[in-house]
Amino acid sequence: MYDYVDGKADWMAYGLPVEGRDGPFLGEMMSEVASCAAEGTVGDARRLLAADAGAAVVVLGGGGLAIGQVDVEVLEGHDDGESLLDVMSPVPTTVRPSVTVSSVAESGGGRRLVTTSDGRLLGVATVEQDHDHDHDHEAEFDQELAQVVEAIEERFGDREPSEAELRTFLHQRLVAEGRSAEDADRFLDQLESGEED
Amino acid sequence: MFQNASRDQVRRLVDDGAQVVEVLERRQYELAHLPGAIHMPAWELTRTRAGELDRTRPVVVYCFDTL
Repeated sequence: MYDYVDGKADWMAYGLPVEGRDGPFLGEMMSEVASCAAEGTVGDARRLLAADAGAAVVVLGGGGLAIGQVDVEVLEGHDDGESLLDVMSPVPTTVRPSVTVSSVAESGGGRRLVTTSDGRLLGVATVEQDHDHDHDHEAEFDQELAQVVEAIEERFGDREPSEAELRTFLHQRLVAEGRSAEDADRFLDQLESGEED
Repeated sequence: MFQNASRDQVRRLVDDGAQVVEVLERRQYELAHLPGAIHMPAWELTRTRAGELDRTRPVVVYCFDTL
């Protein structure tokens, strides 16, 4: 028997395939992005961008780690022989391939660099902003509540769980959905005291 | 009884025919699970349910993350 202790979160963050009805994920729609090793020069980046009409080159360190980015406008002010390390900007915030396209659309969309959980560049994904996203939090809350009730019924059946059992179950569920253990505790404390999150 | 397995070890085990078991609740399983994973919630890991597994092949169990 083996225990994959890092679990599904690790598997998905590394861009490995999953089955199920969530998604589509960024990992399924990303495309290649122009990239250049950290030893490269401005001339190398210029040639790369001319070849694929890209807007930026990602600078890679050892092991394909994304360490910086050089926008095409920046190249215009520099000579071909200059090192990319001297002209690059820090790599912008990256996202994991396991993030759903809809969540990126709802949070503003745009061009996102996709990397594994350990920073290895996988590609780029461009997502349109979802202007029609329903911000009806009450409806979202009702839906979530219905899912929680369903999960409690699945877990305990007809039996009425004790408060301690219920708290343990909800705590595990919140952690499984990505909250830290401390955050889950705080949320449940607030819920018990009737405060809003 | 249990040995911890890394992501690469799990990939090799799966390639070699291991059975993969997700122990989270059904909704979590339905949203996304490892390819070919069986759903067996932690609270159902009884002798009866475990009997559904092939004892001659390795078994990898997982949940969401290390917590």
